[in-house]
Amino acid sequence: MDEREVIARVRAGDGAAERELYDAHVDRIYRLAYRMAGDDELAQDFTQETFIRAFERLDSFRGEAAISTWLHAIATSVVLNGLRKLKRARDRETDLDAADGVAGRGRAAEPDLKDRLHRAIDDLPERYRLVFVMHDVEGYTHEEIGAALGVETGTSKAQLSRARAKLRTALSDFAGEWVS
Amino acid sequence: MTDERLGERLEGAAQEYHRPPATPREEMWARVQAERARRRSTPRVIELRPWLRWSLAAAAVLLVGVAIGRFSAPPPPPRGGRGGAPPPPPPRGPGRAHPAPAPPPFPNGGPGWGGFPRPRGGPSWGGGSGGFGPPPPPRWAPDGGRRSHSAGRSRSRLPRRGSTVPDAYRGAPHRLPQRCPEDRARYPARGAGARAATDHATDARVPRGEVAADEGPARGSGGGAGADRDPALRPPR
Repeated sequence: MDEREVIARVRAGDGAAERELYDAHVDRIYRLAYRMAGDDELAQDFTQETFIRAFERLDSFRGEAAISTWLHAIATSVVLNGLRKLKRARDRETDLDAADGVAGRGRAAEPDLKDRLHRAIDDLPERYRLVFVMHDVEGYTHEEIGAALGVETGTSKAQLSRARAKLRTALSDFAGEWVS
Repeated sequence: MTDERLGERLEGAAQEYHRPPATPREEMWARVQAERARRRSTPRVIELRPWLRWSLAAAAVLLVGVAIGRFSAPPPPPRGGRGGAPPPPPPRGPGRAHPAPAPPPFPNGGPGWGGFPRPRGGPSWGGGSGGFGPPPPPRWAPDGGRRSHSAGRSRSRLPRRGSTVPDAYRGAPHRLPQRCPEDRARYPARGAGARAATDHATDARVPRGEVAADEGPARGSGGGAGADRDPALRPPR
């Protein structure tokens, strides 16, 4: 069925059309949310909030872009804001722990490449991490990323390049293995 | 290693990064529906963030301060003729034939809109008169501010007590202060018609009745002030 028809039916209050729209896009949204959050509960929260907002604001969707682009714009906003709030809360907890003299987590043993890579990705700034995950992990194009984040394609490319540069620096110990 | 090659390597290695499980569609759909129903039933509450809370508090304190300042402004001093001592006569000297403009009845320019007195000492609100005389009425005035506005502009150039505005056109409806009896007796309103040659601050610098006959043109032949005046209206030389 045509996307526009589904949207029109959702606007008219058709519950079946809402479910149809949900089924068509939930996989990609959930995957992206999970990749960014790394936690099932959090990813479900982000996905749920994305669809609630989408159904609330569908009247403001003008149809200039594809509905998937519009949904991803909402999803990236929800995910980035949610992770920011989470980070702030964690920082506060860490400060309290430090003030109480509670020792933090001990330094893990030297991990292998995969763990180091995952840690390096985790340490990227959120925006770079999102672009890296969307492009290199989930396979989005720069056009899709730019449309979802509301930036130019060149900005998306530049952010991906900087993310890779940071990862290269973080993984310089393994450069020999990679070159060989 | 080139950026492309690193990208390829990273893409391969990063596939394991936070690998998602199968999408729990039904579970999330149920949660979405439940949350939407809950939000529909409960009224929306605006959550004030800390910065918004502090901004609102600062704005409220500022408003309260301004309101207190305006309401606590001292009341206008009483005008002469109502129990108080009459105002002292204006100073007269050889270089001052015209009286100084009297202070307006309200030192702050009179009450402004909304019951607030006007700011003390500063220019009146929204007027081009720079605090001298009442400000022009707003554009939303009943007459659109046209008649009164032009009157206000011309009034602002006239001295208060010796002006040509008759007493019948003074008072609150005309937004001009009434003159006290002493001023009325001392400075009668000038009648309509051509202004006397000496009835001007510049002309009055010479003794009354005399004209600076030796004043020549300021610049060039026939130039200077009054050069374009009708010869019949020129003062005799």
